[in-house]
Amino acid sequence: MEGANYGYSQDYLDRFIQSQDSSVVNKFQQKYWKTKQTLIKVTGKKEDEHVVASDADLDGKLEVFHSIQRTCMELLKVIEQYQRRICFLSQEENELGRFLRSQGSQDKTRAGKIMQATGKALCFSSQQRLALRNPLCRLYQEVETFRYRAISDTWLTVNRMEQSRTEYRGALLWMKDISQELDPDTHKQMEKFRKVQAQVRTTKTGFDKLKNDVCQKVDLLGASRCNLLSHVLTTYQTTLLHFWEKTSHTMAAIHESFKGCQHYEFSTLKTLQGPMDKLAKKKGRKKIKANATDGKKAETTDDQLISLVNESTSDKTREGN
Amino acid sequence: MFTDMDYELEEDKLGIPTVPGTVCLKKDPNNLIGISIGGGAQYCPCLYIVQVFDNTPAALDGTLAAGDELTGVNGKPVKGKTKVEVAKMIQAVQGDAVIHYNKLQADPKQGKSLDIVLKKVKHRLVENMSSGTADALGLSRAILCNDGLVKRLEELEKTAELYKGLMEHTKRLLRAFFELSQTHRAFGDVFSVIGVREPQAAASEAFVKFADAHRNIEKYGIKLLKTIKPMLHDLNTYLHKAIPDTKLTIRKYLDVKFEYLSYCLKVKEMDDEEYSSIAMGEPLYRVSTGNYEYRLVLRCRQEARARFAKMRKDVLEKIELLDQKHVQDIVFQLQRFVSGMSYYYDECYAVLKEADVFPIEVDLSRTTINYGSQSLSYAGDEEEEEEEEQEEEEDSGAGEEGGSSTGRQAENGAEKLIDDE
Repeated sequence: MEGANYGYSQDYLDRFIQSQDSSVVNKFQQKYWKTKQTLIKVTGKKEDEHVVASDADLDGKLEVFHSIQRTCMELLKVIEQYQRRICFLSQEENELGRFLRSQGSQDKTRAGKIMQATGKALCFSSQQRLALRNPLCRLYQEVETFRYRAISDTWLTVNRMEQSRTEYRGALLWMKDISQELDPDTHKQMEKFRKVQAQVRTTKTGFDKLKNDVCQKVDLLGASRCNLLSHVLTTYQTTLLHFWEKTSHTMAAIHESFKGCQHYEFSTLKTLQGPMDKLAKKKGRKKIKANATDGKKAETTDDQLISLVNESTSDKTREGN
Repeated sequence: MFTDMDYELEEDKLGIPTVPGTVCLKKDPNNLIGISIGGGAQYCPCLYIVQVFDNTPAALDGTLAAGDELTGVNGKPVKGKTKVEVAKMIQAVQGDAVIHYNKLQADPKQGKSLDIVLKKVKHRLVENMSSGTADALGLSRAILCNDGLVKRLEELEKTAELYKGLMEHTKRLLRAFFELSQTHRAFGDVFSVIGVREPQAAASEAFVKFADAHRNIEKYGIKLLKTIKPMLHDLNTYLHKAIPDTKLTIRKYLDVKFEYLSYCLKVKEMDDEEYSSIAMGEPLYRVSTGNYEYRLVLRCRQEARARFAKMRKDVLEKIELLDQKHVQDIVFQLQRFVSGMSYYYDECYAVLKEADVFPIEVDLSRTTINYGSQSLSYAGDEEEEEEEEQEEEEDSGAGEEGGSSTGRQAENGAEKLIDDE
């Protein structure tokens, strides 16, 4: 970190030196060291520990960036599959539902009833299931846009940063090389060292700027993705919960209404009808009870009516007397 | 034996032994004992029972059978009488009727001639034809058994079809379901990676929770599959064991039925033969010798009919049981399916409800490192670039910028801004 106050003069000095020496040789040398650094990087040779350590936080951010990039790609893939499979399942569900309904309508027994009910529930759930496609579709689009815009933008910055890092490290190598055979007494050598030093300084400024850029961008990228996911996934979750709740209720209702032994009307084997009826009665007792009380009520009202009629007739006979 | 009669020919018993006997039958309220009589004067030396009707005194007693010769009623011989006279004799009896008879000890195999076998084959062929084709070929169709059974058989076919379809559809549904479960897992996995790599603690936790919920959903899905899978197996058992078994019974039944039909046809043919010969004035040898061949066929017909009736009852019972099982089965299977689904949805609902982590609070100022003083000059750029993606970025970006320049107060302000959202 350079102090801002003397950074200016340093800058001027560097620029002065550079402007003086923008010769072909100098440029060539610059290129050479840069290429050398690229080569080191590509071949994975060990670089100076301290230099690498100084970029640790940057490397951490880059790691985060790559992870974001990767997971976004994966997420897109999974969402696409998710959508496809939801459609597929919905289609199968619908087919089974329709099949059950059509078969159930031809069957007059309890089996037909449950088939129709189940078929209806399945058709219903297949339609409801498709509602999940909306938030998924949106999630896909958002992530896709995010990838195209934000990630590619950050990626460009990262690339620029990498380039300038190579340049900076190349310059460092150069300086290291020169400083090894530096003889402070030789004026020419000293001047050359100065030149390289200035080179290092300029590249470092550029690199630092880009490094900062990258760190910020990656942070923002992560945060913005969090935000994006958080927003879209809320809808997704709500839709999914809603769907599950509704479908579960429908299915549970069917389960409830077809509990216990199923009534079957025997026509050939009359002897079996007896125990069947008993079973059925057990189940239907409650209902019968309810009916019975209703019947009683009706009866009592009937009685009253009759008694009223009786009274009136008796009155008449009395009148006759 | 019967040399004192007008008949020139003696009885030709075809080697069938007869045993004399007596039976006492109580008449039913309609003054009948439940037999029909054939033969007698003037063409046939014997009077014989053509048919014993169901649920009549004769049938319940079981002694008399088709083909037996009638020799007397209440001790009076019937030799030389016509069948109408004999019928009147029986009707005239008050109270119990004592029937004297010669039991025909027929061997059913004797009656099952080549003719019968051929007729059976014919019936089998005709059965599979449409009525139009059969008529065109001049094949008579005995329409005896367009009973409920044929309809039942159709129903059985339909049920088989239903099971087949149900199995097919369920299989496909389960496969689709399995795939979706896998996707749930993949979805969860991606979010777990996102969560692990996420620098923000709150967001990281939220994503991991969300991911775990999805992984659990997959687990529940697999559990559901395990619950529903036996359904396929059971349906398969019904389709490939119970239904074919019943079909086999029906096939056996059809065999018996065709045999019976063949005997019926044979009797009819012999009747026709007899009538035509009478019309031509040339009595048949078979008739004038006691009509034993005809009586044998009658006996066989009766036995075939008994077998047929029993078989028919068996088949009806079997089909009914199968039908009942089908109702119970379908309800049971669908119950299993529906309850499994319901349970699965409940579980999923609970687990996802618990992972209700969104919206996540994004707080940049806590995680971003303090960049150098240079950051000031770029923050402006940054904001603009990110603006397009998320409006909220602005706030957090501004917070970050403010944090580095003016210190904690501004930072708190930014936090507040985010909280307010």
